[in-house]
Amino acid sequence: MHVQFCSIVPPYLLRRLAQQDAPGFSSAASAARKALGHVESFQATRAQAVPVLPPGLRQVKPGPVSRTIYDAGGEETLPGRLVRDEGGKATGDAAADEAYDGLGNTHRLYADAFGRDSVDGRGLKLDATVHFGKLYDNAFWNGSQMVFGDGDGDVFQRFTKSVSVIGHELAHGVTQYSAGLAYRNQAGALNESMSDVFGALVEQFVKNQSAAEASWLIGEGLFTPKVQGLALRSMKAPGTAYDDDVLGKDPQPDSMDSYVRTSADNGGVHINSGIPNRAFFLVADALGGFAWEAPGRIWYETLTNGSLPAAATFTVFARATVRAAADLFGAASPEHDAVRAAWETVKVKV
Amino acid sequence: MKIKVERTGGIAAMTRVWTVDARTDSDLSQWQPILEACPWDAVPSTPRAAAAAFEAPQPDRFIYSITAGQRRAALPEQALTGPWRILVDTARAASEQSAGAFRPGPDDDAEAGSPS
Repeated sequence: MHVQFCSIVPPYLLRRLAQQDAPGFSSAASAARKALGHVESFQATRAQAVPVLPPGLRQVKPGPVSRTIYDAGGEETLPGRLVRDEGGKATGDAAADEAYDGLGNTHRLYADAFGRDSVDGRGLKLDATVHFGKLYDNAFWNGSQMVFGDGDGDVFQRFTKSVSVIGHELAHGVTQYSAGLAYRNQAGALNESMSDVFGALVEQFVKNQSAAEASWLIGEGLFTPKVQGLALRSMKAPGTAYDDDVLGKDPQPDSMDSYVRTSADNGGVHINSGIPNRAFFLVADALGGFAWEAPGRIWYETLTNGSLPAAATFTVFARATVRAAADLFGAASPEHDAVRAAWETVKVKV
Repeated sequence: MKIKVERTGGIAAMTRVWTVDARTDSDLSQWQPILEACPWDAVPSTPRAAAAAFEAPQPDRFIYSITAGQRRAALPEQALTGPWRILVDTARAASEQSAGAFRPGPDDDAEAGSPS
């Protein structure tokens, strides 16, 4: 499929900007270099990926969100019955209304913090189906929409209860439309980690929490009261989210020392994601303030600037985040230092 | 004959196992048509092979690993349809622990090539 790239800023001007090395121009220069990379290299393998110009160069603001919520009524046929359209009033059904609000808040984070217009960067409509299946204890992104179960009532409550879960699922769509990280082994763990990172950021954005105030938990509030656990995962302390006599213990590693080699779970994508999750937390913790600002920008830049291959390993990704930090903030910046230090702490070779 | 269904993946990434011990003639005759209806030779037998065979995994979906006596199959959730779905639903309903036992972490014994 031919991807048509339309440059709002003409290439000759991009080249002039790219060569600027005066202080104060570094952001514009790096943005121009990125845009030139998109113009000059043709990404034939990722037909779905549309290069998105960095916020500094785009002249078009993200458009309004367009949400549709469906009810599968306990069956597994998608999308189900339409129950709420964009601008429609609350339905009174908690799952439907939580999905509606969660989609809106996720769209708002991407638009306000990163200048991204929806999941594909081009205003993709956001669809979610709730009440999928019977006692279905899961939520997923199916390639075009989000799907949420009601939980089994035993271990899990309904999955729309957690804003970080809603953000997590939508972030899979963003990854699909950008780096397209393969869903297996280390690339898959990075894919999962991206979803945890941006899921956590939506929750923090909604609550207006700084990195210090945030819980850094994914899926907090999903467990029923009988479970000995706080959440599905902890980005701050992977491996500590739950320890229950029935569920067992959170299996996530917090550094490469305890990397899990397995063929289950597509090569442990939800398990080894603990390592890059912790790296993101460490960057946010070191820099302070709102984590969607510098840390989020570095991660978003890495995900979307076209330099990350679909089969990226932790090391490839780590190097890309270090480069992104240098491009955005300068090589001698606290941001660049925080990113290097984070990967060193979790023992990913850069 | 032991029938075992192991489910991994999902956003919560918790491994759950449902086991059925079909011992009596009556049990076995109830299970036989369910098992015979499944095309065991047509699907991968391990999660690793299933991941390779099904090109575009949908993020956060489950992966099912099924063992019935000597037969084994592994399928992503979206391929768990028809007779496979019937097999899994029946095993879940019949399992001693109908909620399914949680296993703390993935089990790789099958990958090491040891006999079941």
